[in-house]
Amino acid sequence: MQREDLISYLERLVLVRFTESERKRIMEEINKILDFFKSLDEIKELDNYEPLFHVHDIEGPTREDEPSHEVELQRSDVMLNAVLEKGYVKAPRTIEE
Amino acid sequence: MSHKYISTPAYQLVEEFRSDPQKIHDYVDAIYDRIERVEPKVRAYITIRSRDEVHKDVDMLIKSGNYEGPLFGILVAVKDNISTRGIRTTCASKMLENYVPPYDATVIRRLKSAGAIVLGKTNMDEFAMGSTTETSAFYPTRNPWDLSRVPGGSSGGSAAALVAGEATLALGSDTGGSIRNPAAFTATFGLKPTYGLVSRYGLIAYASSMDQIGPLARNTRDLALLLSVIAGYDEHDATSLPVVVPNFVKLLDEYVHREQRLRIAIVKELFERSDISVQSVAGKALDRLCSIHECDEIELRYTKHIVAAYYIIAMAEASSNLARYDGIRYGLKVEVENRSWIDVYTEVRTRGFGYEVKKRIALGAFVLSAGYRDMYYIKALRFRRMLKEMFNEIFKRFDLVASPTMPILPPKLGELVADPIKMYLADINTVIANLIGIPAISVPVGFYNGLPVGLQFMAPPLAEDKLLYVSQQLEDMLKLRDLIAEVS
Amino acid sequence: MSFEIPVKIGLEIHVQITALKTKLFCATKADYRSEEPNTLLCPTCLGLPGALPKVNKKAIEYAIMVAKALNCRIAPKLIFCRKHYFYPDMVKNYQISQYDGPGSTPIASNGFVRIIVDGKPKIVRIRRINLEEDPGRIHYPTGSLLTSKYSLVDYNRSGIALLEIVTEPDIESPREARIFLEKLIAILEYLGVTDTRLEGAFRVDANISVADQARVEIKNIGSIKDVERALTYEILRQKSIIQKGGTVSRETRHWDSSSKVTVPLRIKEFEEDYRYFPDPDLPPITISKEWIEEIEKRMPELPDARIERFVKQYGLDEYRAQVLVLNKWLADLFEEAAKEYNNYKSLADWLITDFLRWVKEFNVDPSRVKATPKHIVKLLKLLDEGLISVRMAKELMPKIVLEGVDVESFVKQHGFSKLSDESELRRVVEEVFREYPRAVEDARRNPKAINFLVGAVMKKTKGRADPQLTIRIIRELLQSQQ
Repeated sequence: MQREDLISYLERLVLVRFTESERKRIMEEINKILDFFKSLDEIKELDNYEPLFHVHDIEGPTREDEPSHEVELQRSDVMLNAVLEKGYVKAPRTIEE
Repeated sequence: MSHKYISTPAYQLVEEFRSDPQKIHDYVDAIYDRIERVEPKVRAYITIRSRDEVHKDVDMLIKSGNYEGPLFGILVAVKDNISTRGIRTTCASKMLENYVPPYDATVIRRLKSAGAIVLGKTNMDEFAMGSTTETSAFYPTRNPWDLSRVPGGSSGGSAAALVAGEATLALGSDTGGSIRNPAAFTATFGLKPTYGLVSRYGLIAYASSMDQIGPLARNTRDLALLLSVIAGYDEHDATSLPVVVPNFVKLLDEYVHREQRLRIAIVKELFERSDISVQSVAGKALDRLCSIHECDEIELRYTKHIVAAYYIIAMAEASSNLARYDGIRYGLKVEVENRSWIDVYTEVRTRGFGYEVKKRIALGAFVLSAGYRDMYYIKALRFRRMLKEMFNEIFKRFDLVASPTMPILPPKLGELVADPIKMYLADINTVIANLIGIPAISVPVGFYNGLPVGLQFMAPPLAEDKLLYVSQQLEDMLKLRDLIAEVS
Repeated sequence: MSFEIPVKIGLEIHVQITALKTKLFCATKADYRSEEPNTLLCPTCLGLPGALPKVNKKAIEYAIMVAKALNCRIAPKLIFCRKHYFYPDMVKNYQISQYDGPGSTPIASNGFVRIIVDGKPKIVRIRRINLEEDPGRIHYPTGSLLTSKYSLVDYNRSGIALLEIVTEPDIESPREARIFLEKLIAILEYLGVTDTRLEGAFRVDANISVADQARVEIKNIGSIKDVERALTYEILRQKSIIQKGGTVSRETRHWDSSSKVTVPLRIKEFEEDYRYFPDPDLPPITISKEWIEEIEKRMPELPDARIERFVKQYGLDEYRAQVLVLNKWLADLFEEAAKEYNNYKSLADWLITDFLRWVKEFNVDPSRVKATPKHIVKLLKLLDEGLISVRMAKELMPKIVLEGVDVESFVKQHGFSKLSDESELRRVVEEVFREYPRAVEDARRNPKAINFLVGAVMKKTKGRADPQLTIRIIRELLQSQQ
């Protein structure tokens, strides 16, 4: 992929836009950073190791199916940062134009 | 410099307050007077609670009659990525400039029940993505020892607040060195706990598999005191370790009393990669420590690759964690009527995030995307396992691994951010602990031309006690404790 | 005869685990249907910064039950992944789900469901089952996505535990799809996992390819009836394209339940890249053999086993057994009644024909049917004793279903018992003879014409006359008057 195309692809992937000056800067940096990341290819024995997702080998805990009192207390506050209309959160149109 | 209250250790203040709780009010005033004097120059905080509000908190605390809290009456500065109910929590981002969490992070609850009072929220790199506190969307924080230099980051505000005398204790978060780096640059003590020792519930995520909240303080004993309060199993965090947390202060006394000899590995490459200035100061301190412990040099391969693996994983997780910021339920608001959601989301995220954040989440999404994922992300995770096994071997022979905390002295503002690779490589010594989930500490060991140098120690999982032990020994030897910068 | 074009259908079924008290990843109450919008939320299910998920153990157990019931292989570790896509109903813009790829696996895979189509057994393979979280719900101020200037979101549903069940493309007709879904719903109902009658608790996406052409996905189908309708529509649409010599293009279509057609959604510029990776907030959970065994012990008898038992224990044929069993409440009613009534075949027939017909006719929720097993047994006993006629029994059925009337007292009160008193019946027959002399003449000449007279007697007695006795009396009278 061309660098210019790559930037546009990334913008769409994470829904951000770079300004003109940022674009220039990131095109320079992205080459360096991806090359830097590529340095892992130098280590041949890497394929002998399984990917490590969680640093500790612990058993995932679970929770009982019981409503929490604590949650009840927070109920009235959790929506304070949203714009509401008749209790609904106001959001943009959902069609893709 | 030693004004009454400003430089007094927390453990002493607590004793004083227990015998006369009204003194807490005098202490609060002393700190606020200090803030009024130095904060315009340092800019350690994003939000400072009003003096009156805090005095009211003190009244309530005294009325509660619970004088036995281990942090009774202590003012704590909290990094602005830790959720505080009713106090805005911005992550130093325009995205969350007006966001007020409806809940307290678990560590905040623990602080409160220990009798501590949150004084304010400290500046940081935006979403903790940086090593200098310069990517804050609001303003950079200055290093109190030299206002033309950065205090480190991303918990730069917390470290600067401590050494400027604007708080007694501070909380930071550490994903790749964000507590230890500013601790080293400000001559304070900072500890990144074992992954899972301190609950992440309420910590605004950057890279979830590496993020840890940790304490910053001006002496080892305070560090141990704060760690004891915030550590412990939390049912709200599924990665929280189900362990019984000891009283680190008591444990520290026992260690010092026993004078136990430790085996310390010195990582040659990490010393050699450091600036001469850092090498000389850190080396001298280490020599003194090695006179009472057993030290040996070890080699570490793949130092550069460690940083590459770290940034791949951190950016990948960041791209996921920061996807939720779309301005709909909270955060930056824009007009939504007659607009498609893609339009609105793109505008919110473009206006809400700074350059470094946008760059990291874009690259993070890239290394996770189909066709590139195995090449970058999965490879980095393979490296992570290899690194963990390497350190498992090292810890069979050694109790601790030593290196400078930062390979450089605190840079001038603008110096490091200009070159991303140089900036990322400065994290080389600190990211190891995050990649493999082990604890690490930064201890102040001296100054070079008036600029602080820190020494880092890493330990196996849950060996925080040993880190605190060497920290205390160095503190006793070097007398670099309870330091307050003049700020001028 | 028309040449049959091959059809391949695969289904993706989303089922809410409505049996749970709380959501999948937080301790917020799950019963959101009666709540005001955006009131059933906590930091976790609203995706607030810093909030973390913690898995509901019961949800895993229900998922394991379903996996077992669908004959699946269960993963030794439950690994949650993040599936990334932006949309206003998503609180984190990623969904915590599972994924078949590096570091992850669905909770269950490689299963199958047995169905019977036109008397022949058939297997529909299950590709996988995922345990995941439901997103919020989007409403439109004008009621329509197209004309609304903005949308309104209710996040109460966010975080509700959801099972995604995906079949292989083994289904060959819309009717088969219906039969499969009826079986699947019955299994879920037996397990007590979900109440599929609740609005939104059961949603289907269908993949369909006709004559080995491109696969078309139909999204958003909310009921079994609509699945059958949507697939039928889509087959017709695709066949007509093919017959005109065109080719079907690969696309995603939306089922519009009000106009009963599928409409195209925008064709995507590039393949969706979900960027799956294991959720760092959720360490893997071991699903041990012991745990599975313990869950199996708690599992109720499932439809297949019950059908088999009905055949053995009650001597029913497989068809009757299946109709009963797939309507769990009806099968339960049958078994209760069978304790006091041993003509099982007659009992089954009455239940699956008249009784079920009225329940469907009145659209009564099975939980609101007033009839108890005792009512049914009484009715059948009265019938057997000749105290009521078949016709009366049929007439009484809706009253039993709707009002739960006590048959015995009703019959007594309304004189509804069968008229089998010979002298009284003879009097009615004589009356009919007087009224219809021509019909009497006809009946003398042609024995088949007797039916008119029987009908007249029935009419006069409001159907109470015993048919056998009536015929005998008419024949006697015809002979004696000759």
